[in-house]
Amino acid sequence: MAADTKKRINLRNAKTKYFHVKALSNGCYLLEPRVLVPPQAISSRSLKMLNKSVAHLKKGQASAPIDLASFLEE
Amino acid sequence: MAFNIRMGLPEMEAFWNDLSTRRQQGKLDKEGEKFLKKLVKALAFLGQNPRHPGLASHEIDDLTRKYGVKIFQSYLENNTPAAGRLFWAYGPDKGDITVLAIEPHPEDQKRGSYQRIKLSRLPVPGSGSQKRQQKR
Repeated sequence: MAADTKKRINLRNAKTKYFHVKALSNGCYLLEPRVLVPPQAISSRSLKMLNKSVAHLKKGQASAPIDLASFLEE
Repeated sequence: MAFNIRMGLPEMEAFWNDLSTRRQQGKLDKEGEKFLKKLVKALAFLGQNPRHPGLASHEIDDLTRKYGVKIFQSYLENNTPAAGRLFWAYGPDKGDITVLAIEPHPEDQKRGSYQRIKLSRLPVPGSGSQKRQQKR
């Protein structure tokens, strides 16, 4: 593999579109596949919220029905 | 069949009350307005038809197994990677849907998000490709 005149290289058959690039002092470049958000991950904050809501739901407790009419009119 | 939309206690109710109060007082910022608009639209669809195609509702088996109640997930946006998500369940009464949690859209351009980017695992030393390089 060689860089072209503009010091670019091609990655053939790359499995991911985005990479996190680290330039090391010895001239090596380290490319790691970049994952912005794991699709199935739920944040710990949401999970905490889910835990409490489910606990109350199992006891038959939830808020009063919400009225969306005022929001939808606008 | 139309459903009553309820909020889970206590945090979801507080979150909704805070959002709607700030809206009424005109204290919502631009991002908040945008989020509320998406949320209201999704909740309206959820109330009319939980299987509305725009919501892409589906059961999350892992959460169902964990809580012993069927937990569903719906999307707040379409054609958006890492879109905001709603977690909900039927109940407590017939004809009710309770919104249990909201996973907002991750902030991909703000507040040090670049530092929080998750990277894949590094290749294990001595794995196939490195051995091949050593042979050369």
